[in-house]
Amino acid sequence: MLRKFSASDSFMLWLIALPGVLFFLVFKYVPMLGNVIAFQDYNLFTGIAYSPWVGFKHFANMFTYEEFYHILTNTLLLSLYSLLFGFPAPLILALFLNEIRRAWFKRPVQTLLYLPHFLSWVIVGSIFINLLSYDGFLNTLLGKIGVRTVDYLTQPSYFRSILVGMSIWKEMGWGMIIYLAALSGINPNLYEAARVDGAGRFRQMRSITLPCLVPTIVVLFLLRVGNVLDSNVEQVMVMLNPLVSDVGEVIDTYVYRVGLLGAQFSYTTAIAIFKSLVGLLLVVGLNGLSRRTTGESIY
Amino acid sequence: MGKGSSALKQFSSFLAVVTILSFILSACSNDKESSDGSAAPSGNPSKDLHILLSHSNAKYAMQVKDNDPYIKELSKLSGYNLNFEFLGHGNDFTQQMTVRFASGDLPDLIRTDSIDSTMHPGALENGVFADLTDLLDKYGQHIKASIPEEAWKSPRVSKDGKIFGIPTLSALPASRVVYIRQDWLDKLGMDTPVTLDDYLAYFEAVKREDMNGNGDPNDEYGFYVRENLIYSNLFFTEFGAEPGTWYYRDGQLQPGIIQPEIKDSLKFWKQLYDKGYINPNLFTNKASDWEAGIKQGKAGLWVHDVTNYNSNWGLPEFYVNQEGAKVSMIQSPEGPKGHGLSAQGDQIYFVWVVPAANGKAEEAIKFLDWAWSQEADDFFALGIEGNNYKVENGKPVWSLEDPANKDNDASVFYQLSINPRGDGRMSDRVLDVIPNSEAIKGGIETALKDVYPNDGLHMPTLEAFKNRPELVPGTGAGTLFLDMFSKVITGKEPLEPAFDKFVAEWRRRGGDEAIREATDWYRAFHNQ
Repeated sequence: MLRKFSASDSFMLWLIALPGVLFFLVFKYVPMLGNVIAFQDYNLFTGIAYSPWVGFKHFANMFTYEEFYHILTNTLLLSLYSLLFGFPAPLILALFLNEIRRAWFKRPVQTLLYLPHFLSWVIVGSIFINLLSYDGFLNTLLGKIGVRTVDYLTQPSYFRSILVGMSIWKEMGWGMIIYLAALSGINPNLYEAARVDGAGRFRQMRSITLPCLVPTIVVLFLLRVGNVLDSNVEQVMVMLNPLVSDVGEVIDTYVYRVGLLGAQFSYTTAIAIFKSLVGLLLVVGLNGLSRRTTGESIY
Repeated sequence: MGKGSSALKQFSSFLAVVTILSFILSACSNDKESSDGSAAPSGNPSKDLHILLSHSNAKYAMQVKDNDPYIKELSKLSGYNLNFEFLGHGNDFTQQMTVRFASGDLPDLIRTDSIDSTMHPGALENGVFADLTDLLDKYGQHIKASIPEEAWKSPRVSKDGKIFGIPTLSALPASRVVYIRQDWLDKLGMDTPVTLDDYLAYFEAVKREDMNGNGDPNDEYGFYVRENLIYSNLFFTEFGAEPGTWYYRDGQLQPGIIQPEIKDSLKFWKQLYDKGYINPNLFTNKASDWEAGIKQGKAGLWVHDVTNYNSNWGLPEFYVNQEGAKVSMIQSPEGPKGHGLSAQGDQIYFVWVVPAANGKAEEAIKFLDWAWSQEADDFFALGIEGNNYKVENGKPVWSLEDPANKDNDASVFYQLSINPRGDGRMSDRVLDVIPNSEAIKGGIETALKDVYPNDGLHMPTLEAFKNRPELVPGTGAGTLFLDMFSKVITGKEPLEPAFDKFVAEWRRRGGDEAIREATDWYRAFHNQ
């Protein structure tokens, strides 16, 4: 049965890898070349070859645009909050769920928790709008015990919290799955040994579970940091209204208005390049930092 | 096992790889099959017309299937093999159309809003659209006879005397009216409000009483407002300036948003907000919630189109749990500086363009000319004979209640969605057969009285706004004006200095540039 690893085998492996490699080449790398339109006044009908080159004009426009620093700040703050509160949420949930030993309870709960992931933002948005609006569920409930009615949706101070809360509700269960998979990979002997040594549940969590999860946490964190200038445009658009636009307008909503509704392709490509560069710098920087401090890295 | 079987194994796995690859490649090259109702037997490819348009927010068109009977019938009647492809509505349409133009895959006849629309910048200059001037003279007699001379001059249709687009017309020159709950007026013993004070008196009464009879006197509002002030532009022209309208003043073409008269409007709106005459959720009231609110009897008065009288507002059964609900279409209030709901427009609903590369210009014009001929009148008004209407004693008998017309709003499909003439829901032939035609005809006249002049008529999109959507005049989402408006009327910022601050900010950020550009256009267009 033993076969030698021959030249034709490696050819076979290459062949098997080919579709995947082609996929990345055709759908990821070739389109990247299109980014050159950021340095052109791109015209759809003359194409890349005949559109005039304008150098860094669109980047200059972006940095001199009045609102730019405002929407950049909004984007960063929103990302920061969702990183701060949204990132640990699935981890904590996974740790809790992992402590439940009864499968008949654990399985349905797990399924219910990741179900919201499959709802679209429009639906999740409507649910939260109905909960939080002026005559919504929360206000009706609080009104019964004599709390003053507050239109949460139009209060700038609540806006980011609502957005982060929605994201946590929707994506927490889905993010948890990866951690649960990592948890099931921890060697049970470690726990047994700890129990023999008299470690309680919290001690086990602190000394075994968490250290074993560090590689997963680091990888997920680094991947997430790369998207620091991305906001969930569908989610933001659903919740945005003029009374919260001071805190709610982010880079992506601007790109939507100017790029997709105004057909300014070159300009919005320049913005996207800027976003990617920032993401890349952060990933490279934090990856190096992480390699030196925890020994974990994504490449 | 011997060497032979391992070779066989390798060969079969090689086959598997090849199969998978060929699947992927075929998926790439496979052209998208489009839904087409082609039943017309003609195998002549020059009679194939692929039409790209919006479903116009109509239910039937959103769900249209292959082999649709109406498209089939239209193909049969016109002698063309028609293939309709429906995109979204409003912002969705703009977005999808932009992407579509970017893809370069263009059908034979395309709906756009203007020949130099922002959906396809540069298309006109690069000869993407066919010059239709001569073809119209040759084959477009019916088209020419049906569209007013004025419309052909619009920059949305022609450039330097050459015609690149065919304008289609809105159902009516003006369609906005104020809808008021007549049964509430009657219950209160009040007359139809005319002046601003009358309106305020009505709002006060609505606020005080439990008009919808659900036991809660606080869940109805005099004036029911929708987010971004969509269909809610009352109490602006009354004071002398409408935000999205342009005014030629002091030798400059200026937008309404920066006119000092807006301050009076802001004061009035603030009063409406403070006294609870408008719904406090006006900035988050989405279209569907807005409609639901009216349905549930939360609205004493709202603004919408005459066209929708028979599809919702005018039907007593539209209102939930409210015996005898009845609406009237009335004129907007007479303010100290006038009145008006609809800015004077070119009545162009949208524009057909024909991509030159397809070589279908002649056939497209011939098809459109047929669509504007008398021969097509019946279809675009009444649908398919025997299915949507019957002919008795030489007269058509058509009913809106007939499931063939009512289910899924099927009548809207042949009157509006696939109607190449534009919106046919209020054509004479339709008005003859629909219910409530007296009320609707009255509403049409009321709407006409509420047209106000607009000095920016025919103005193309200004360069100055292209990277700065927040400066666009009007009350659109994300504009500086709407930000200021919402803060002032909810009391988050005092009117003074918020308005003056806004004007200075708007001018500084590019507004002055826009005014210069608009003024230059105005002088050139009016040959001054």
